[in-house]
Amino acid sequence: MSRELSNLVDLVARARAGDAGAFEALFGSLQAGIYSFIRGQVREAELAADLTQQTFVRAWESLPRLRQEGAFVGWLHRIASNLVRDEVKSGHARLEVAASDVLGDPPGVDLAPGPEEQVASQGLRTAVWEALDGLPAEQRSAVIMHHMEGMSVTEIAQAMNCRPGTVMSRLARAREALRRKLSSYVEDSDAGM
Amino acid sequence: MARACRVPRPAALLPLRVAAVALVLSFTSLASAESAWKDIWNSGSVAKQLSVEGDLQTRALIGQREQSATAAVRAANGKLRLDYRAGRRKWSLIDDGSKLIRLSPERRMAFAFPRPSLATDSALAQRNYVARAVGEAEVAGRPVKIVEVSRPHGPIAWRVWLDREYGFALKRERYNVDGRLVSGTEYTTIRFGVPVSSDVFEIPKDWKLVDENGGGRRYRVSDLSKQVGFEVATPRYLPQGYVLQGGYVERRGRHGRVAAELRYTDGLRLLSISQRMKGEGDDDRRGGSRHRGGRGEGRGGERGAGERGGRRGRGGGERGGGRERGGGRDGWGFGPPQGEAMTVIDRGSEKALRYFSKERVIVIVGDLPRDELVRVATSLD
Amino acid sequence: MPECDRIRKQLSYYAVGGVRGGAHARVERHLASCAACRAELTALERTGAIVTSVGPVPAPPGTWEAIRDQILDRPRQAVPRPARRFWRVAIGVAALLIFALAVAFVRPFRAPQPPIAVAVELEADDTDTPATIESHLSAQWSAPLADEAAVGLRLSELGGS
Repeated sequence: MSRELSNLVDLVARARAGDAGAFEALFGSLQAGIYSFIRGQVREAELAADLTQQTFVRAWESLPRLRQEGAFVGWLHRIASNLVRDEVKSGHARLEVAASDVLGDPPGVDLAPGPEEQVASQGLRTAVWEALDGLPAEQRSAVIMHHMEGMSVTEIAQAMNCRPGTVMSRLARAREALRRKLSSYVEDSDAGM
Repeated sequence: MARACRVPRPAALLPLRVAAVALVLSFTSLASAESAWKDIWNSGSVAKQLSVEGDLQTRALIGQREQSATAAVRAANGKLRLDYRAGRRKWSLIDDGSKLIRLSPERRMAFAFPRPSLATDSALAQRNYVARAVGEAEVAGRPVKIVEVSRPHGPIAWRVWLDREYGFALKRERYNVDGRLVSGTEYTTIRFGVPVSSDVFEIPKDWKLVDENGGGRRYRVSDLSKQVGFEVATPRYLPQGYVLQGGYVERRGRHGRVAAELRYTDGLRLLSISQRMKGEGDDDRRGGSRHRGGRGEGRGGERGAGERGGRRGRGGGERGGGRERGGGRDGWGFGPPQGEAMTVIDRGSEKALRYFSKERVIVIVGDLPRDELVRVATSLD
Repeated sequence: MPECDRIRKQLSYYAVGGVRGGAHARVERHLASCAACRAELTALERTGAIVTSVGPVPAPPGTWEAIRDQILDRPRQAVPRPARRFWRVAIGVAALLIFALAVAFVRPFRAPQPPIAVAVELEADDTDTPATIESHLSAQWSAPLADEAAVGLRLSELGGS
């Protein structure tokens, strides 16, 4: 899940200049990550979708204030985090997440369609989200950003507004915990590759 | 004491006589003007009370072409139904008192629009227009009184033939601000007081009703800004006699973009100013709409878009900065930016102008001279 | 083995790339000779790969449309550019002074008005003008002296029946 940085920078610059098509392309490549990031923090699918929408709208409105295009992804996540925090503060959301809630998405979301291999990976998906469920919120967010969104440690640090060292230790501790929770998959030689 | 009585000579009396006659005439015309206005206001209210059945012919000048149709009319309890026929086309319009409904028999569909009811400001109309009775005639076999309405020192704007007995308008002619006859309607047969059943004004049960337009709620400008999510600009220039009647929310185009509509009136004529913020596909346009037959590059038009998303989020919009410095404007800053020709579309009873300002798409519709329309549009910047 | 315990504690950091310099070299040296620790590292790396393979959950359909509707309807915040602002103000003031002088001493002249053309057809891509005409006509319907029959004829010609 690598992103060509130069392409991103170009899209951000164009979106900042008002190019809605470029912004749509940004949305396209980042929406699943942001949505997962938010879903990792709030309980309801609808709320997460609403917050995802608000995140992008606010990003569009505030883009002119973003000087460094390269910081876009982290900056976008900070917007999302702030929105989540506001929702939590106003009592609209709680921070626990149940894997079934995450995966019990409204119809239309493609979780695991198609052939039989997908059935196996559906089980894996559930297992992974359940494992994430058991993590402290900050570790969970870091894992989602790193593994599901392909963000670099620097970007995650920008998103979480902390030092890269802190990101590292969150990722490391999460990795240990996940290794234990997912041991049956980890030991299985076909797991997830 | 004997003083020679100065008997005024006839010649000296003349100015006095003239003055007296003028005074008498002015009283008469004042009286006749008052009664003419009374007849006009009365014809409006009577139309809502009477039950009427009849046939009429109507014609309208739309651009360069004249369209005409016949219609069967039924009215009762403030509702009105017109069953039109033009060549092979047939359609119907129902005014059910709160909405206008267009019936399309071939598609078995009904389209509803809001029908904002304008509170009649008779004082405003009487300030801006003069009315006089000009004669008598016969329409649809009934005696009528003819009343003309115009701007003082201006060309005629309306001529109406009012039934002597009921005050109902049996024939109308409408002239635009340039003095051109732009529509005319005349009853060929009419019957008053006939019972009209209420299901005439209802939509057939198995038809599909399309009611996409808003409720037609009227707002003050400040509240309208809150409703549409941007600061509604008001014109710095208005034609003489026009006042703000209200603000409305409209949805435009395939993607239902929100637009603010301001309606002005001089008592009888209307001026509509609609504005929305520029969006995708609008950015590169400056000045007025393009000429037909292309001067300048063609551009892909507004792209169609998918369905509207369900949720609406929060967040405000601000105006972008910077005023455009336009050359070519007159000394007071009105008028199109230098070199831009504005295209005004003449629909006969109104003219329309679409104008792209720095941040907005503005459409002005009104029965005004061309340059007035342009002045209003550019004064919104 | 005590060294394994020490190294094990760092393995997760090592796996995520959080071990540098001397410590990194020490771990590498240990791994070269310790199969158990190597196996553990592999397990940690696999864990990461599993989580990566699951991938993110996409936002529900319609999300983009909802966003697009909002960003197209609203302009964004203007950003003042501090560096240029001073010059803009300075130029503005200078212009004002010149204009004031001009008004005082010179009669302002009327620039020639560009031609106003008149067309009769609506442009094909223009959805704004017909919509405004339609609501204008609907309002006209209720205006005093309105000729409803003719207004209705205009409405039908505009919309098509």
